[in-house]
Amino acid sequence: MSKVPRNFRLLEELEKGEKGLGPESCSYGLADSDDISMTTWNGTILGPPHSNHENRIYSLSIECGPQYPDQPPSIKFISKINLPCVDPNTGQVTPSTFHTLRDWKRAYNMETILLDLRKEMATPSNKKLPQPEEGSTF
Amino acid sequence: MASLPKRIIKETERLASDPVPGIGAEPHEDNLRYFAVTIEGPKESPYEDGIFELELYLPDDYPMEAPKVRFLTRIYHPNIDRLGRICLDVLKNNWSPALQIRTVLLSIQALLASPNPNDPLANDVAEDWIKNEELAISKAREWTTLYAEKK
Amino acid sequence: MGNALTKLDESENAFKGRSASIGSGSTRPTNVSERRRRMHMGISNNARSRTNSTGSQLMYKKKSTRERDSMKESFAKQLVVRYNESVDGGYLAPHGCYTFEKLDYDPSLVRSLITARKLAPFYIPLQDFDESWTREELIKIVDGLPLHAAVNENPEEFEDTPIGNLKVQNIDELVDKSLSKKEQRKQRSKIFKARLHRKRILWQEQENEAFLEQKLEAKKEPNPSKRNLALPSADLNHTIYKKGIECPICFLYYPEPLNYSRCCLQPICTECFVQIKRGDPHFPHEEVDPTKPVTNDDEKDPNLLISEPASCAYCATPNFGVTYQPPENRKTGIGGTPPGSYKAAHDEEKASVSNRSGSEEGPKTPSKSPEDPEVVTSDMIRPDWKAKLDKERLRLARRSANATAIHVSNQLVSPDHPSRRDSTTDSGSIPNARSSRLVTNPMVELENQMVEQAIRLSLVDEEERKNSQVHR
Repeated sequence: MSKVPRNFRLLEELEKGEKGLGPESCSYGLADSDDISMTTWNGTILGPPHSNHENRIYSLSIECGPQYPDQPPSIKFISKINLPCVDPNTGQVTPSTFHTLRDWKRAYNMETILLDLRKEMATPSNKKLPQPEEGSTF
Repeated sequence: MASLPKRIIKETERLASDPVPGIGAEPHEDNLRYFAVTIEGPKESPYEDGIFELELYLPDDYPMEAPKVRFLTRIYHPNIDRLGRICLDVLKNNWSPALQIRTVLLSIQALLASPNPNDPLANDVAEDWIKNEELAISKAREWTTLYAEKK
Repeated sequence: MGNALTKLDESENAFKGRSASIGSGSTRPTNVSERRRRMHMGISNNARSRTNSTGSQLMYKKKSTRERDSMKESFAKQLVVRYNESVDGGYLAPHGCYTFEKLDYDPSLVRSLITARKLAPFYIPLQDFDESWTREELIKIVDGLPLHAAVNENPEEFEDTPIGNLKVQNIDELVDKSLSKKEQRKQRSKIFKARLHRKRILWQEQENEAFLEQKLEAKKEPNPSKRNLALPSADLNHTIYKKGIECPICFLYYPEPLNYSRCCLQPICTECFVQIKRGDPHFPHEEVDPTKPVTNDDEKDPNLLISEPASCAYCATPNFGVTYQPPENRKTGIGGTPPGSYKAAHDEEKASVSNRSGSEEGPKTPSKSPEDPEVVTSDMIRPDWKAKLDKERLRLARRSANATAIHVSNQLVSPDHPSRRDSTTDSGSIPNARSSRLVTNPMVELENQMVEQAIRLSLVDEEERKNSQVHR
């Protein structure tokens, strides 16, 4: 398999996001539809059921740098959340504590990250963590 | 990584030895399926005197699948959207494995000369084009000077 | 629409009659190799009738996993290039210009078409060709060619997949039983794929080694009549490769004659021909008015899905097909003389060297209709195209029925009617903007949705009924 260059890879992801082929529990799209470099993206995660996140919609900001997808993007929660892999002051998802970013593979994409974050919210140790007031932001 | 198919090697060689006037295409050193492309705006079109940068990628299934092509230079055209994506039949349903990088780039150049607002990708631009073609053309010319000026 | 489909069905049936005649047209076996060939043909014919009668059922009635696996294996076995299965200097399976994953034609049909000389054999291509090569140089180059192109032995895809002992058929032990049923199924299918990949490489390697061994032995054997006659003679290799022709699709060099498009008479090698097929089922493309909103594909009637026959790669004439005029001066391998005993006629050798625009160049016939018995179309080598279209229609109908069902059940969760789900959640902050957003005019909407869903479900039923009738 040859390596799909960054831009065409991001276009694939964009189309998948636009057509809504992805899972219903997460979504993502380009933050600025004029941004030809396709760097900044918005993501949302629908909180998993049977957890303190149920029915909440979390907004995130994703930054795909020039080395993406060889390097993982940088991800930041905009909605306030209490999760071990998220910096409590900035909302930044810290790669050292989030396995998907730490053990990044080229085959992963933004959808992988959002789905894995959602799984993170639903783990037995995380699902009952007290959460900040809904609607508050970092 | 699998070795590069002979077809891609030969196309690349032929593009270099027998270049298309007004069109440049060179593979990136670290990815021989990924090309940096330039297309000169066709004469007597609003894109005249502009040089447009594009990127082209030959997917694994090329030539059974069309190359992927995108404008990197901003352009005001009803069949090219704000991210530089191109709505062109030969890149989609009408792709044929007998077409080549060369023919695809020529088709894109021809698309610049004859926009088709009835099969748009950029809806807002197409609307402008249908409502007031003259104004749209002058805007296309403006953008060409603004973003695609020869250096 | 309806008309077009009827017509296609007819041409499909017309071909079924023809393919039968190919099978029954073979002559009485005369010698051992011939008998072995017929045995082989017999096996592949059986395999064909099996896939034909069950292939479409596969889509609708579940076959056991093991049955499906063995079908996939026998499919892969037919794609192994075997040196002793040759026709006029070429072979019955592709050289490997395109990956195995991209081979989805009916291999037993194509094998029969090649042995019936209705399609050029799969030749081993030359990467380059130089007219200045001497006879000796050319023979040496051709002699060094492998039966099959190199295959990536360890694709990333199968990196962490255990394949176990390939001789053991049952792979259930390799599946991690702690996973969910769904994950187990996924893992099992991945293990099967990885094993098949490995097996294919082994099968081809065995064949390559046998070929090489026989060639080495032939070199040691001074008496030509004692050599393995399944190996091509130097004369045969020279005759077929001395005038290379570049296939305009893969840019590789092949012996003449190649197949020619039925419409515009352009050459195409068999390996590229078997790649050309119908596009995926899609909705008809319409030129839209940019001032109006676009209809979402999800809202369209699945029965409107279409797939068009492949168009000619060169002139875009619909219903792509090729013709093949077999060489008159050599008939070797299956149905002919042993490749090892081929001797080029002396004067013919001279004639074709001096006269480059010889009789073999180009097709002699004008363009032909897709119904012409000499034409092999893309649809003919993929008789399952109709089943695939039906399957996609059914899938879409199911999906939209599901989507409607989900939508309807969401409607029931309205702020005015607290649902079970809401009452069981412990957090006090129930229905927010999200659930109320879905409801505009609950009762009217709901009624419409119900009717819509009923229509969709009956569509699905109808589709299933039709299919079960067709495939019974």
